[in-house]
Amino acid sequence: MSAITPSTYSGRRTPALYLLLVFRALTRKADTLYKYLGYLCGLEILLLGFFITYQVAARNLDWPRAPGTDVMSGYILGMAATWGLAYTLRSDANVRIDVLLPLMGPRVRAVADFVAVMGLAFLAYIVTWKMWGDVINSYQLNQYSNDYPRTPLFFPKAIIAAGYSLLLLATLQMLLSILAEKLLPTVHKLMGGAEISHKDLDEESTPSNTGQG
Amino acid sequence: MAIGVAFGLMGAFFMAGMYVAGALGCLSLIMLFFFGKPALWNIMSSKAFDVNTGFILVAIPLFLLMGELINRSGIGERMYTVISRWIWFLPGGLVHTNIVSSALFAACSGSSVATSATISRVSLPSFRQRGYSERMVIGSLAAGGTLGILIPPSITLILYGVLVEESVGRLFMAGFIPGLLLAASFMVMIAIVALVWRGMAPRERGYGLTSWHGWRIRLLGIFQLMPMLALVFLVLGAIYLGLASPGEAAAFGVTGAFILAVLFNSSTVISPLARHLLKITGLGGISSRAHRDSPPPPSLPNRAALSAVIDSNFRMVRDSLLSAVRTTGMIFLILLAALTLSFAFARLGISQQIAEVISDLQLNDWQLVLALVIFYLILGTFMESFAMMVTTVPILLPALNAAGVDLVWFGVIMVILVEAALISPPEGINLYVLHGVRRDIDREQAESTNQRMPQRTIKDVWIGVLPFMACMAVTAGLVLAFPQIALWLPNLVYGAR
Repeated sequence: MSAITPSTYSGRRTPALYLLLVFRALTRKADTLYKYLGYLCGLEILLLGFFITYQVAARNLDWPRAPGTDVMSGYILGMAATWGLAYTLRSDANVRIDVLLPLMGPRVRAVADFVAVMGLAFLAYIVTWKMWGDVINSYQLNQYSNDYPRTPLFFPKAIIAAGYSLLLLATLQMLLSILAEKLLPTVHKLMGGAEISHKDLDEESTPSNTGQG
Repeated sequence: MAIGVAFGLMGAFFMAGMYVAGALGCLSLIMLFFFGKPALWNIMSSKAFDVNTGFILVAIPLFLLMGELINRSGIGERMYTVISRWIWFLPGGLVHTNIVSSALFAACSGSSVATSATISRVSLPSFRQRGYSERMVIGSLAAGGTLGILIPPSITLILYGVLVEESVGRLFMAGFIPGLLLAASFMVMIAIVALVWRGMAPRERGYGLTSWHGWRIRLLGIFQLMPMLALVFLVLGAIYLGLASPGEAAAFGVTGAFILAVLFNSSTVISPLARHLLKITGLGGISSRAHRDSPPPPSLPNRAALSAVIDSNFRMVRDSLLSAVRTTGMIFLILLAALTLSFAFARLGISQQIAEVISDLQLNDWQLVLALVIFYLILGTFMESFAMMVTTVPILLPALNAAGVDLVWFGVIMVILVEAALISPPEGINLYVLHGVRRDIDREQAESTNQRMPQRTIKDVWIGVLPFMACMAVTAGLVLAFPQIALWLPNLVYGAR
């Protein structure tokens, strides 16, 4: 567990300090997972390109081809577009309306950052909740797609629901991260610990630079 | 009441600096909950499913990946050099190369940021040594980059098509002539500026138009560009000839771009390998009597060279994949929120109220579009271009329909305005891209010469883009006054409506 050992910090080691370190280690692990999911989604997009190219060539040249290019491509897109949402968020690729952000002081900016992630978390929560409800409905009613190849609808819906669940997880992780980074150093000092800096603990795990592509 | 709350909340969310997707999504959900009924939230599951599995939207990640692969393969550098040999003699010299390279690169990439970043990295260092006005050069690079979203394939046009439920193929065709017109207007403006203020752009020296050697180099350059031109024709030709849908054409583009990028990136191995094969098969002339005593065939690339090429290709593909995923995620989340907002406003009657307010103004379609042009030009100065489109189009759509506005025509004007927003000071993503590239180059030059890095401000970029914004206003005006500039080609191919 070297990841949760303070590197250069030499003051008193409090539970708050260890909690912060554990939290950062978990964040790092989650970010690694999101990044690998990003690779997976990217690979899917590339293979989807090859697949559609082959299908179109096969259609014109009378080669054997898979049925339902449009439907299958849509399902693959469903996974490629949603399983990368958490990585997109953690790599800071989502667009913000930043007209007033540069004018805000550090405290107001911190509140704005928190509110921004909360907004996204709320959206992700509602979509996740409703998507999983729909998955269960489709499963119970044994619904199939209208297009060929007829697919049990709960399956692609569950894949998309899982993608939004990952986004929800990432937003919650970010919210907790903002709170932990703000509160735990203060609690640590109240418990008799010394001033800590990012360098004291580990340099790679600050919320702003994790998960960068 | 609902309309006031909706716009109040939207303003508050945007002022608070929320994510665009979060702001639009939360606004829709709050409105549906308080002014509709909680059960309306059930729409989120079908919206999320439809947005993420629609075949037309397959084109977005595929075109993004195609652009990323071309962008990272280094093909842009070669293209720039070849084009500069053809048009150096025009008044304005190499500044024209920025525009033509951007226009050609735009045909392989649907993104203005990718176009700006690629062309500026290639061209900026060479301009420094030649005495061009830095403001004009960076203005041309920022403006040239915006051609990426008007000249098809264009991610912005696909999104617009999805938002207004219009044919993406028709929109692509509609963007083609205005895109070329805009590029031409940039070039005319550069030539006029270079002729009037001669210090802005020095006269270039190169192979004259009567030099046989010059033509040989130019034509050889075109031969080098053939694979890329073939890719452009493959993608656009398939759509224009009706052989493939935009999604299928995008798939051709990804496959072609992948092959091209890997081959181009492997040239250090492929060239000696090809020479070796030519020699040992005799096709390189070794069988002739004169070459019997020639040196032995060139050795095959060694293991280290092979592993370096594999490593370089792996990194190129990996980075392209991740970048495409990041942008795809951002776009799809915003699209979900924008379509939910559209549903919420329609369900709660807000869209209808807006349409009624606008129809009470008694404007005809032309006057309405003109009013929207002014509105978007103002909005674009402080709002991010992409957000500007997805936020406003769903709200304005009923009013546009009620006024009988042709949505293809309006789409082209809208994209020109989005282009203007991309470079309109003080907010404009291309401005920041250009400023960032300029700082990177300054840093690299300072490190290589052991000198201090010059402190340049973004004001140069702001001033540099102003003449190009005027060109955009003129082009938008022309398309506004003569809708056939946009509608002639789609009507020719798909038939008039």
